[in-house]
Amino acid sequence: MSKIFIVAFLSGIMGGSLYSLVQNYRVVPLIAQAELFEGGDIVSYDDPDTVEGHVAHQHLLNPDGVEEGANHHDPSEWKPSQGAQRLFFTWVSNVVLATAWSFLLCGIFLFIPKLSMRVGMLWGLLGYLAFFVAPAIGLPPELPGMLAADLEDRQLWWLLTAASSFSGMICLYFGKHWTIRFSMVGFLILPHVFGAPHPRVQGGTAPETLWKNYVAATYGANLILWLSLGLIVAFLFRKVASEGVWSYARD
Amino acid sequence: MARVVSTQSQSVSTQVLLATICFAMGLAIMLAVGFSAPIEAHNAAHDTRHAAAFPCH
Repeated sequence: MSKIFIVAFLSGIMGGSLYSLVQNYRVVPLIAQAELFEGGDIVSYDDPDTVEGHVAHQHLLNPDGVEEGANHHDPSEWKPSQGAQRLFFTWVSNVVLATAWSFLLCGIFLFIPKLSMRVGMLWGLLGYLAFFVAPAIGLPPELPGMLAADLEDRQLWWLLTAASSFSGMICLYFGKHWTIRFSMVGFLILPHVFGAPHPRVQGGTAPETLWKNYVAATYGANLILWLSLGLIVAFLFRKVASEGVWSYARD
Repeated sequence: MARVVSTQSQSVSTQVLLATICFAMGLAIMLAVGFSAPIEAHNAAHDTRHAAAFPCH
């Protein structure tokens, strides 16, 4: 048991650190840029006429299903100071998140006899699709200052979508009969048929092009995170499992 | 023969138990870093949450 924990924590530290490098280069600068716009006028991303016009429509600021994303920061609340401290906390939370993903991969790998690096990478890809792409299709990555629907609705939808998509991946990979494999389509589609909670108007304080670049950067960075985790977890898992330290069912 | 069967079923149930622990750990850690409500937790993991496309704010 403790060996699996070591695999997950080591993978988390390695994968999370690699991810931090990529993220710091591509993603974090865009978040920092968006923060400069926070508190400014809302720009709608829906209507091309107003994107450049930088106009805050009155209806954007109405509480009717639209949360004003720009003014959520209370200056008295604690947050890491800019620079090294913020980088450090982001690195720590990246490592923690990567550890969470590593545990999920370990849970899957327990059921895969003769785990190969290729299968490890395949599960990295499936994890990426279930835990990043599927939720991000409905709820695109948000920049600070963006308009959004109610937080709890979005969190619930995110969790249900990730759980449903992950179940779909498990059916696809482990399903012995085609009907079970095919059921993954239902698991993948259902959350999107139900629909993600959206604000009435899509927009925010940051320019739309900044947001588009940001979305692309997060897709890339998370792909690198998941693929590297698939490889690292599979590598360590094989090392530990081959020593026969736990009753790992090999055929 | 009976002994082989029981060893096998024991190893399968150990597998399921280990996997359940792994999934529970993964879920708990993910919720802590990505979804916990206290503003301090949110601010510390701010960039991680945004970059992972977790709903934020």
